[in-house]
Amino acid sequence: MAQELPAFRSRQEGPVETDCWPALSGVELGSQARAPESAPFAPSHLFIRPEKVILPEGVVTPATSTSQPLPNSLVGTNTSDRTQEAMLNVEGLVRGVIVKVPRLAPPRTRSEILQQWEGEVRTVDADEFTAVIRDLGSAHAPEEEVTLAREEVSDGDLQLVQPGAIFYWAVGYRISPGGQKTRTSELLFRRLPAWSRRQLERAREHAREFERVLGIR
Amino acid sequence: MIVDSCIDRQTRMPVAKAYLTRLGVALDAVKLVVVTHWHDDHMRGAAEIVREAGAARFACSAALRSEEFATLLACGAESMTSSMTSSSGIDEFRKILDALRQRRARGVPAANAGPDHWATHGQVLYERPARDGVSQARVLSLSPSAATVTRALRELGQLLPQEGEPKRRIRQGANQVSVALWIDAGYQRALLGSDLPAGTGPSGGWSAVLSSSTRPAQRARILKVPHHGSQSADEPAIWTEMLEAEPWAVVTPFASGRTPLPTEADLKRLIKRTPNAYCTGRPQGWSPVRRQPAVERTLREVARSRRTILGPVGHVRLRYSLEAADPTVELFGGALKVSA
Ligand SMILES: [Zn+2]
Repeated sequence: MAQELPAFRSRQEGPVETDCWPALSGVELGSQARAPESAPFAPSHLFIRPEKVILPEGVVTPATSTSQPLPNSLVGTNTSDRTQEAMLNVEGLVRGVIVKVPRLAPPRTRSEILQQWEGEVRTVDADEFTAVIRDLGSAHAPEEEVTLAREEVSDGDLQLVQPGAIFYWAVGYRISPGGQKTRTSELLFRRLPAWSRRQLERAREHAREFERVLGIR
Repeated sequence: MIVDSCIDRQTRMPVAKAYLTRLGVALDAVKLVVVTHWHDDHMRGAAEIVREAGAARFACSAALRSEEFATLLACGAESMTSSMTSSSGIDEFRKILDALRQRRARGVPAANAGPDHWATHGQVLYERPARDGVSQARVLSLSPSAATVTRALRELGQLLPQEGEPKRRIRQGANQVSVALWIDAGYQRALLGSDLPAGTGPSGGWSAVLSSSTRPAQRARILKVPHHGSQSADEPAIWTEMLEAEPWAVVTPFASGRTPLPTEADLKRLIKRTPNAYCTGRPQGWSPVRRQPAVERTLREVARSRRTILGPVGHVRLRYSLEAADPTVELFGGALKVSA
């Protein structure tokens, strides 16, 4: 039984190398093992937590075994919620995940990132929003404020555009297998976990300490 | 005294600290630190000041002395989600409370380990009698009114996150809890307007200040124009009832937000009221950093507007003797005189 693993894809066609998404700080989602270079498919299609993955017959080349140990090396620390979904799906499967992967490496569309920011939404209007953005490539660059049209946001992320929401913004090129360059701008909103009852209780306990300093109790 | 705080982008130092250091004044000599409200643009670096001005009283809006605000502070700590360098007012306030807690741990008497000075209308935050040939000095808070504090608590409660709600940065509340200050020293008086709005009824904003029985009877010669000169904080009656004719008025721009402040109209209104109007910087923000051509082209297509919100520090210095002479005005950085 082969299982389709929802690989992390950009809004553009074709896989995106996880290495392209560094520096999104915060949560590490655990080991994201990378398939061995010798595997006959694009490594970015695999985000796997188990240490061993049994690859389906037909995918495995004579050079790899059917019980292939995967190196533990991290492929970036991608906090994208899409990756998280993929991770959860993998966790939900039995150990010895079977991953359906393309049999042949397709001609690859590459992305080249020229500039990336972390942004925080400040105000939201009917058709646009303002955000403060911080240059992820330079800690010393001043923060800027931008107004962006809501149509720049993918449909799936639109409901996330709220004051206080955090997003990642990359501007760069998409380079087709033939070498054709297209300028791209991609906004990716973080799907931050919801407040749980426990966290709210913990916050209320923590608040008691502040109340003491504030002289309330 | 130090009122509110911002950071010099180049030195990463609180501007007031850098200034006093240049003058050779130790932060120990500061008697009073006031945070007028908890908005980001008024609080950056305030914790460093509270930490280093160890002998100063710390005062803030009475609306913050509440379970609601304490819970909001804790939720802010719980929802740290971003690596944004500019910390929020909430984060800064939490650091202030840490600094105050450390003061208590060092045995500083509770009166100075505050905030025991909860600013409301008619509250004396600092007082020094005349002695050794130096005139008396007094700092009075004019707001928030009791009604405003009650309203603010309700609003703070609404900002608290609910179970199941996605984590976001804690939103800022309204400006209504801002602490407007009255400074009395010798024959000179100054009115510092903070971000206090005009007020829709007699119970809030400047209307409450004007109708309060505890409002000082004298008039001030110096005005820190409320809320970056915005229309929403413009109360004509403060010009006729609380200020001398043609006072020295200083506006601080706020280059962030949909409408950077002050607008052209705000400056026109101001200049009609006094010829002695100054602004600490350019109101419209600064041109953004230039990037490589391909990035610039994409940005031109995608972003409807772009600006850098923090420029070089501007400074309007008004100095006067404690006798009745007019102040001397000096402009530093991007500060300018507002002219028609
Ligand atoms: Zn402000």
